[in-house]
Amino acid sequence: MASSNNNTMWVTLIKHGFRNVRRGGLHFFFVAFMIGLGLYGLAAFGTVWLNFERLAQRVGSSVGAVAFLVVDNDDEAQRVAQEIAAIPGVAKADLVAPDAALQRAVGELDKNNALLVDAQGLKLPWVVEISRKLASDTSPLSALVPQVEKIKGVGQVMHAGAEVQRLERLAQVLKNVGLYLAILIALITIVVVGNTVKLTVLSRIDEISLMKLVGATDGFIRNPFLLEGFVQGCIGGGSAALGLFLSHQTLAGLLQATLSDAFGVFELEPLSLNAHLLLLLAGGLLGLLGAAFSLRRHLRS
Amino acid sequence: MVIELQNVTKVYDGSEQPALADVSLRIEKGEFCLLTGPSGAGKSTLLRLLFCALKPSQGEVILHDQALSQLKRDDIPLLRREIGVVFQDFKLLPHLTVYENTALTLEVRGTPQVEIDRKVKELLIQVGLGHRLNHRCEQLSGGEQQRVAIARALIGDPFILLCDEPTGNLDPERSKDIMELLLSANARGSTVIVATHDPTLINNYQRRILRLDEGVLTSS
Repeated sequence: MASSNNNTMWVTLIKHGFRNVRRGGLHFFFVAFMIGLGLYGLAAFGTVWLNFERLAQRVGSSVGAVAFLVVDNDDEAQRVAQEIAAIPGVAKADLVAPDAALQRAVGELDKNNALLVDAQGLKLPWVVEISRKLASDTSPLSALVPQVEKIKGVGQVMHAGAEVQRLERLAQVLKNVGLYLAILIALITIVVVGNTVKLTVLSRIDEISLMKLVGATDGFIRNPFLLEGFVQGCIGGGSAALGLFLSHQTLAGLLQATLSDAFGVFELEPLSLNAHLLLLLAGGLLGLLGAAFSLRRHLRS
Repeated sequence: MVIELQNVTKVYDGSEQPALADVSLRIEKGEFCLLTGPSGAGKSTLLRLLFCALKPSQGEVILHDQALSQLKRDDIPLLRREIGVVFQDFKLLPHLTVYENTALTLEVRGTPQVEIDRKVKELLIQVGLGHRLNHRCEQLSGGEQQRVAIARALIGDPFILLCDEPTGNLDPERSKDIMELLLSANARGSTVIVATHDPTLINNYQRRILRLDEGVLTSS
């Protein structure tokens, strides 16, 4: 009997929730739109930020260093290369033998061998080309170079340290600004959504009062509003996910071409399917919490 | 005894004059009382104290041997389900239909839909609104809205029925019908208090009269 009564109550609550949705009309969709807009802004910003991070890592890691060795034989050069490779933050340490270095120089400097016609007598040193791990995993290049220089057998280390430092500083500044903007967008979204939902509740204040007067419990009043808020939020979150997917489909090609021209082949990564689902759930949660917080004061009074 | 007020005073915030001053009264189970007095005498305040819409500034209100000041917040809805109220301004939800407004009282109690359907239709026919079931309340005349408000109060077979000017907007014929409805609810066991300043009603229905003047109970 009690269970049947509970079922009746749930059916009534769901009926009331969907009646609210139906009755809400444009206002219902306005709240959903605000939730969608806020989440879209946040997620779009997140996507841009993540891709910028990837780009910065790629540019940072592509800038390595070259160590010129002061060694007499191949075994010693191998040992130095191994020691360099063992330094934390080094992704790769490629040893280039003098002959190979000369051939490369001949090929790169003068295709017609005009300048290096007598290069047969030229003796180049062993060289280790150092690539760094991705920037986020490691210390900056400026910290890596002194460690390489300390290794016995290393003569001179050449690197684009100043440029890399500038890039790293710029990336750090953008990271901080990005974090600030993300927090700001999140706060604005919460305030706007909270106030929009509050307007919905205010427009129904008579209904809430009346339901209390005829003996409705807080749960009976609250649950249809929560259901409405959740449906609103899911519609908003779903729209944001769809908008983001469509934006990626239309804009990624254009941006990718521009970025690839400047930095080599670079693929803009969209948000994953899980992130899209998360957006949908975040919308639902936002709608749910907005409704719960807005109702709280009115239920207490 | 169903209702008891012990030295109840109610002073609204920002007002120096009490809306009710040291009111004490007892109403027995099954009584039908007419609460009368000029506008602003405190009739609506007294009714609002009875269904916990207000708290007294001093004194105690007791319903069914339960002091309302001791009532937990969660128990208030359960108490209100025992009380039917007809508000002076009807308090109908204009966008809902006549049926939906009336059914609300039963829905909050978890009454099965089949029973709601049967009771609501029966009662709405009884109050002369059988042909208006699916009309939104905003489409009804003042008199019709008042009858919906009465139907909503009666639908739950309340132990106590509180009516604030229930015949205020009705012609004499309709007023008589409504009073008959209230009397039949009383005959079924409900304790009824009707606040009114309509002298015809007071003269036509020889019932216990509670008279309020400037918040003071002058006749009970």
